[in-house]
Amino acid sequence: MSASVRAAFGAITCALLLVMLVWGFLGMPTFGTYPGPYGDVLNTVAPHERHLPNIISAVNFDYRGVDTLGEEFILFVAVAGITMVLRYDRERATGDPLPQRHGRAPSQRSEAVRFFSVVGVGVMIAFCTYLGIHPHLTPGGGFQGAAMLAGFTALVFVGLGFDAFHRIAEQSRQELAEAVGAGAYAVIGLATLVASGFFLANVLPLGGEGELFSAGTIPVINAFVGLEVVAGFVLMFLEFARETRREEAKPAP
Amino acid sequence: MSASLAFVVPAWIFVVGIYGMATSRNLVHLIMCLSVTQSSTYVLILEAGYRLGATAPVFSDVLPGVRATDPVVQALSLTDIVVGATVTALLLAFTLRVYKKRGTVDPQALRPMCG
Repeated sequence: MSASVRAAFGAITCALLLVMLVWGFLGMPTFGTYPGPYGDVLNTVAPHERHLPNIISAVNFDYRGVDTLGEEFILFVAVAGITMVLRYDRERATGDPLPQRHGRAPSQRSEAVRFFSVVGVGVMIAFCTYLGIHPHLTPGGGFQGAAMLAGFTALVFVGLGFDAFHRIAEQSRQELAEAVGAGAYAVIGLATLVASGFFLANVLPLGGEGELFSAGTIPVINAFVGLEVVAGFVLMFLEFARETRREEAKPAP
Repeated sequence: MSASLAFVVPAWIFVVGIYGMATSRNLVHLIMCLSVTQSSTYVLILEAGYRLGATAPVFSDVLPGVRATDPVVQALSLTDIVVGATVTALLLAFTLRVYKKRGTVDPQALRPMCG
């Protein structure tokens, strides 16, 4: 396809897109007038039915728990894909899919960088764990807390280098944690199916509103989602970090 | 016309991302533009669930029954941001593979698809 044909094709597509956007824009309701009723029903019913103040977590881990199960498996498959693609390439190039020592020499970091990354690790672990274990009480939860928590291993990589990072993010444990996190969600769903006849029904005692152990299955599912997200992200960082350890492929003769 | 200018914002983010993807000369840049395009959907659905003068649907400081925004769209965008980050990383892994195999990340130089 020549450049002029592609430009003409692009112009037609842009014109069509513009028509669709204007058409859609004119059909939008006035901003700030959400008509309901689903959100209103949930906002009214969920605090009494599930004994929790954060309705967003109730939607995520209970009312639409099946959707979150699907989303969690998308995450699982994406991380598995990253691992497979990068390891396959490294194995073909160097014969070693899991390089550790060879590759670039460790770069020197200043005292200040090392100091602040170690301090930051402690703060991040404390804050993200707090955020992650309160899905039902505050605007937090397993997804947000765990995605941020995984960042502390990246901070170790930046501040202390690959060897320290590799000791923390050892791959066998991450793979196990990710698989357990993804599988446990489905197992909880099947267990509630057996117990009550409904997939992902909230069968545990609801407890008092505002307590750490309340809202039934929501904090349990959230904990496993958090485990899966943190393990998935760390595994992802680890695979990309291994790219810096890779020996250059030998030039073809 | 009942539409509000607030809905121009997601349309603008969407169009900027599409423009970036169409004119991109680097796959990493293209993936970033794809993320920008994707984030326009978050803005759109959050605006669709918004209600003027309403609080967030977290009833720890306010009593249940106070006017609140739609929790469903917020739950949707929350999970999607995390999943979108991993999908972006998967695309970046593919980019690394393309670079090792073909020695370039310019989409225009990569037109014929061959194994």
